[in-house]
Amino acid sequence: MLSIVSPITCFLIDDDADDVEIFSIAAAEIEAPIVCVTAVDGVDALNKLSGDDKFIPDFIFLDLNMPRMNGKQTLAEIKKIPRLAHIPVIIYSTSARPLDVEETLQLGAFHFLTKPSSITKLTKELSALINYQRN
Amino acid sequence: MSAVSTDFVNNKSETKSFAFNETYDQLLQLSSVAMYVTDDQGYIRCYNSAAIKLWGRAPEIGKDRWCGAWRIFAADGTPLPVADAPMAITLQTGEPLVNVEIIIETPDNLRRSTLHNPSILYNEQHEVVGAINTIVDITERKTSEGILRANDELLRRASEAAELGTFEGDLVSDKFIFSKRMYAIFGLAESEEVTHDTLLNMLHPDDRPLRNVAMESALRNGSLIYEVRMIRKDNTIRWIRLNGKIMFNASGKPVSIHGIVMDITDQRNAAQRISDSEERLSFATASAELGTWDFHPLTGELIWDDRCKVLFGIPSETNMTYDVFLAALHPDDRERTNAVVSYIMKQESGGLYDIEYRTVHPDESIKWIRAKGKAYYNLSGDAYRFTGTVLDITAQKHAEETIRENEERLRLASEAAQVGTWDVDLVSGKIQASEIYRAIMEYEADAVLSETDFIERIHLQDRVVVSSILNPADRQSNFKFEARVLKSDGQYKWVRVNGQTLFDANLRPFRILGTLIDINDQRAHSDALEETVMERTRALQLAKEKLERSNQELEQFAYVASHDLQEPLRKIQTFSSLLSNHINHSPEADRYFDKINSSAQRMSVLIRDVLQYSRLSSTGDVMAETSLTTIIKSVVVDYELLILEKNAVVEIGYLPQVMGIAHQLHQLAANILSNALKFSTIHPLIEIFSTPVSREEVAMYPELKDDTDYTKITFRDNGIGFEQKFAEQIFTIFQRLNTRESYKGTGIGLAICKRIVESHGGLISATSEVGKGSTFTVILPLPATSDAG
Repeated sequence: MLSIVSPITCFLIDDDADDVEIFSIAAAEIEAPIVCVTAVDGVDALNKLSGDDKFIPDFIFLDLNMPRMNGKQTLAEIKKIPRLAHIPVIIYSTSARPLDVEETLQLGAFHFLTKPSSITKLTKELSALINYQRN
Repeated sequence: MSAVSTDFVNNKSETKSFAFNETYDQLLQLSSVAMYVTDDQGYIRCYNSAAIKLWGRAPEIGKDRWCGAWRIFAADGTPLPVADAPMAITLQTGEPLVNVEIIIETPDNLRRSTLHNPSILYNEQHEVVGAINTIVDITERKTSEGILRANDELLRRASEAAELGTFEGDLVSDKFIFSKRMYAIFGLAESEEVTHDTLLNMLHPDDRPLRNVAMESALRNGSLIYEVRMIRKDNTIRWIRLNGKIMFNASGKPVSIHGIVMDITDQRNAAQRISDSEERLSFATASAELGTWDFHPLTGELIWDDRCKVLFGIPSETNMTYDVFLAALHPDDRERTNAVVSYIMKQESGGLYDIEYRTVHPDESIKWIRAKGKAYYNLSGDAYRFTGTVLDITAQKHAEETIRENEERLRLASEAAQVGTWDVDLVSGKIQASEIYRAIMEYEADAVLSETDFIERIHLQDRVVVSSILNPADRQSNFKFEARVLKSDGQYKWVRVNGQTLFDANLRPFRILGTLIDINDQRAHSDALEETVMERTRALQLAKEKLERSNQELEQFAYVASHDLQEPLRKIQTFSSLLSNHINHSPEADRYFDKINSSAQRMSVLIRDVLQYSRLSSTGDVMAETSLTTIIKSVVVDYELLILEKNAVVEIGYLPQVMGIAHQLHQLAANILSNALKFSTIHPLIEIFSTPVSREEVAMYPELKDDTDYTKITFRDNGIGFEQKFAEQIFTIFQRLNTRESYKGTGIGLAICKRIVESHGGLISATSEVGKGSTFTVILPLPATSDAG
């Protein structure tokens, strides 16, 4: 199983407080230690990322439907920052419109995760992602 | 009358096969008609001066072939190769030709219409040695005046023979031969030797210039005619009229002269002189068309030639009298003609007779005749002779009549149709135009029209086109155009012009005929119509764009709605499951949690289906040839688990290629199949097969196109079925026939099916009976190249 070395940092960018809470609950269920950093939208996220050179999360979870700067614009901006170029960005959205899936993958998204309707499902998805990346 | 034998040339040495017979010399020489002889190869061997005159040149013996003319043309004016000359044809076929009309051209480019009569010459062994051709110049025969002129010489000979002196002279040796009467007229003794000078020296000095002028012209055309005074040895003065013919040799040098001399002193003295030869004509001719008659009023003797009798339908043996003549006339013309003849008998009439009348033949056919003649009076003023010609002008009359009728018809038709007509004489530049033309173009009745003026009145925007059409340097044989012309009030009106250019034999345009119509109303109407169509098209385009926009908005709305509706729903599900972890589980609580979950789940499916339904209308997918077999098989794979679970049998028959959008057809089949599985009983059997749709059946459905082939796909199950009266309702969105408790579903599936089929240009229907299963029938278009079966 997993050997615990250091906590995994997940940077969740989502304007929906409920979803942030649900994500945290699901993350807490995972065996590996996880640190969740959150931003309420793209502008906030970019401020946090560029304000601290040492902030290099392991995963970025990005909602699409957000005020000020939406998920796609944020994704494009993140990909412009060299030190973050290799960080997997997972799109975390309610709907899986085929057009959105295609566009974000082209912009360099690592995975497209539709927000599931149960905590259990989300926990499973997150575990799978982290394991995949760790190995 | 014989002349000195120098006016033809022949060359006997060149071709042995051509045994030139002396008879031909005579023949050619005697003839005042143009004649020439060729050898069996068609090379010209000899010809007479009349031929030279006609050709305007003297062909080189043994070099020129078939015809001595500079150039020849068919009667219609098209150029004719000399190898196609009548002579050439006769030599080729061995058959003589009679009166073949061709046009010959002299080196001076003068054209003459001629009749050719070539025939083969044989020697005593009946071998072909050559051919002889007689050419008759018929140029002047084209008018009756012309005919009279052409026969001038013959007439003279015939009518004045008794009173004429004749002479022949060799201009080379200067030997002249006078007839008895000639000696008498000149007051010479018959024993005297005469030369050309004998004649010339006797001329009245005052009249010599006249003779010289006549001679000059004779050296060009061979015909010498003059009237002069002559002083005889006894100093008496006589008026004479000399009528001579000059013969030329091959090089065009005059070699001989022959002719007649008439003592006209009495006529002159009695002031009976008639200067113009045309007016003197009193006798008819040997011409085929003219009949001749000679009436002696004092004795009542009337002499008609056979032609005359033929023209009147009178048997040739009939003894002619004036009454017989009158009786042969059309009753309506008889009195008038008689009156004219009676008048001519009087000297004050002047004696010139020119009349048209009809004759009635025994077969009751009617011929139009033109008669011309001249009466001669004695000193007491009585007509002693009345003579002239008759010509059949029936064809001409009919032609005139036809032309008149056509013109009248055209005029009436033009007026009725309000068509203006115009006629441009390109030589004079004058334009004749009908009243309607003037009315349309707003010209005064006496206004002088010109092409330039017409072009100046054309609207600037149309002028370039019209100017190019009416370009004088490039006349088009047929043209038409529509253009705006300036009106007197400064406005423009639309006219349509049609024209036809006439060209002469040299392809030079000489006349343009045409029509002009006022099409302003018509144009205005069609312009308005076009404007309306454009307006409608614009409106339609706008409506279409609006519809597209609203469809896009609707899709956007559906997407946003489904996204935003899914989100709270998902949270309800998530938090309700979190809640269930934090409360004590009682049976009631669990049941309520189940209800919350199933409701949320159903709503989720509902939102998904509505979204799908709304997206159907706005897909950008293109119809393509699609295999139904492939689609149905993949649907069956999708439902494999359910099929196994229900222990169902799916039988798939022959399915064709159809025109369609694959993923939509997939959904169509999936929805029908899932319904069949859903509403099944113990041993479900589902059959899927196709049948052709006949053209007659297609015609029964107004929704289907006549020119397209269709296939019918049947989905038959043995499930619970439904009442036939609901067959229409089931395709309506949110329509359920069964309770939600017994059968799951949103009530959108069949509405989606209907929408898919309709967007494919097809039809869907259902038949069923409760407990006996349902049958869904889908009609879809086949690819254009495929057969309906």
